[in-house]
Amino acid sequence: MFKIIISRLAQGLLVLIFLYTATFFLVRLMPGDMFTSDKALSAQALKEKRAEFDLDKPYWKQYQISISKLIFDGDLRESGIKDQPVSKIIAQSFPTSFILGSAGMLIAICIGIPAGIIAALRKNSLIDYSTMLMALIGISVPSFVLGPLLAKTLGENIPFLKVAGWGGAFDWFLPSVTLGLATAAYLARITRAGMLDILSQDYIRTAKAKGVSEKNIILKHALKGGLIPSIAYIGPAFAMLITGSFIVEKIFQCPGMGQHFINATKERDIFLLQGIVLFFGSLIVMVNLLADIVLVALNPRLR
Amino acid sequence: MNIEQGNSLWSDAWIRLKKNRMAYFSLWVISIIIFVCFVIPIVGGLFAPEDRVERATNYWFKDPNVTALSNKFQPSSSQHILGTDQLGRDLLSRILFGGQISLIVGLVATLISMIIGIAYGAISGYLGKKWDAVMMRIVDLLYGLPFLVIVILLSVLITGWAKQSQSTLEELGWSEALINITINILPLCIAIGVLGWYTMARVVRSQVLSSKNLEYVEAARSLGLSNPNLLFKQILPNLLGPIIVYTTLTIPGFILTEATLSFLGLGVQAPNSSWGILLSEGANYIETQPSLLILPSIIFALTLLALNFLGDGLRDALDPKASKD
Repeated sequence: MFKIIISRLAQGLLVLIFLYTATFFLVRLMPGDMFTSDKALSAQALKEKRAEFDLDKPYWKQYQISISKLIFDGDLRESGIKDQPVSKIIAQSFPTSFILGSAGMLIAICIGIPAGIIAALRKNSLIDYSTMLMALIGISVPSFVLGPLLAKTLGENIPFLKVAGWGGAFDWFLPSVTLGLATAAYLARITRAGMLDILSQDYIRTAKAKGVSEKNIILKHALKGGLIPSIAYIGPAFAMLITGSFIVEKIFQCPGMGQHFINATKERDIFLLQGIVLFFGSLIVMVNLLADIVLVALNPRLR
Repeated sequence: MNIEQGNSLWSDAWIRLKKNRMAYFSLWVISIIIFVCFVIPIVGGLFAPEDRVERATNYWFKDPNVTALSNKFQPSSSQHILGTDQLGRDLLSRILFGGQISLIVGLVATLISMIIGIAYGAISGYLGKKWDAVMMRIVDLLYGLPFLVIVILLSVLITGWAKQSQSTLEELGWSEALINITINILPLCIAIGVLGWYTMARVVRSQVLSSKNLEYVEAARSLGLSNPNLLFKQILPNLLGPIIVYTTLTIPGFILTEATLSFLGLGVQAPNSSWGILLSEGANYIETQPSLLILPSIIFALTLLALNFLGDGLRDALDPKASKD
């Protein structure tokens, strides 16, 4: 167990180094920088601005400064456009993304896993076919179609749901449903396949032959092994929901990290970009590590 | 003379696919969508009249780029079958043209990722041992990156580079259409394709690993075939089944990626349109003119659904063992 955690941590660290380096060069190789579009700046002011953000130095020097500030001071530098520390922008917008992602994941789990189990237990029945058809539709209808449709149908008819904005008690609901339904669809497919795999195993047949009731077979034997693929999927999916809510944030105007990332990309706000991508990466590494630990704890064969 | 012929793997698979009604129906749906998105606009463009207004009003195939503000938000009529958009452009024409771009991006990106993934996976699986371990470790690392984030950054970078080379291309005498594709569409395909090959590499690698010691490969090796020959002419052709299945399932994912980028304003650039751009524009008018969102949504979702169904069906047809549950 300990060995697994150490090796996963090392791997996670490698991912972060690679991600940071790749982002560093990607954003600097893009033509133009964050001050190019600002026509109000004089040549002198432009030069000073660039110097303030080290943009006048060669790449390797910039990289050195960035890395040392990051490691020794935990400093993510300042946004060039918003005149705020990057860490502050992230701290302000992360809660929104986190709430959206968590609620989305919860919705996905509550819909996807029961649907998958029922489909597997009633294999090749009408319920199975219709559930899997719904799942395939859920995968194929993207959030930027689903979001506006939900806003139009639910948002306009249920009084406490708002079509756009953030701050009210139920404002997370529509964006989270939009975010979670595709994941629910994947989860239903994975759960069904996992359950079918376990239900065809010999030990289930043995239990049946011994006269164990169907309810007990499912609750005590099948669920334990059958849900492992679903649990393995939840970790990465959760990370993806938190870091991939660009679309719903745009549709429902939620002030999350995705909005900042998209704007920073358009404005070439390099330090904000680097900071957000590094934060996304760390989040993914941590969630995946947590998921691995849970999986090993659940499945003795992996130990 | 009548010679009994055994069924090949492919004819067997075809029979099984035909029996799967949803998958077979999906194959038809995709064929029709591809046909109308490519053939109709191309034929329509060939015989288009010179006059702009004539092209946008009375001609049977409406030019999707001619704007007429006096004509905006028209409901469905005999002139504009699906009505017009916020700039008075024919919605049906825009959907067909947008479909062209979306399908091309999906296909080209898949092709790029397929080439990289197959080569990488085949070499990794064939070399085996230490090389395989290192190469697959790298894939594991790449899997840990946030896909969409990197795709966005890379596509912005490549698009920027392409734009800088515009004047060079003009001097070289490239046609306007070719330059447009190179600058506004190709960078997106490359960014998606270059980052989307990991799963293909894994699929191919595990297949190569399990088949490189089979008797037919041993036989070919003992006949003195060189390594590249053995790998690319003997082993890979026998892996076409899984490769086709996985490719079919990749295309809808990449079409979705393109649409996502375009929706965020970071994908296909004007004057081109894609389904993602249509959906993004339509979302702005959902209150006043919901058909601008709903009609493109239908064909978009239908395309993804059909491709996913076909991919599932192909997997069942080409690998009947896997589908027995």
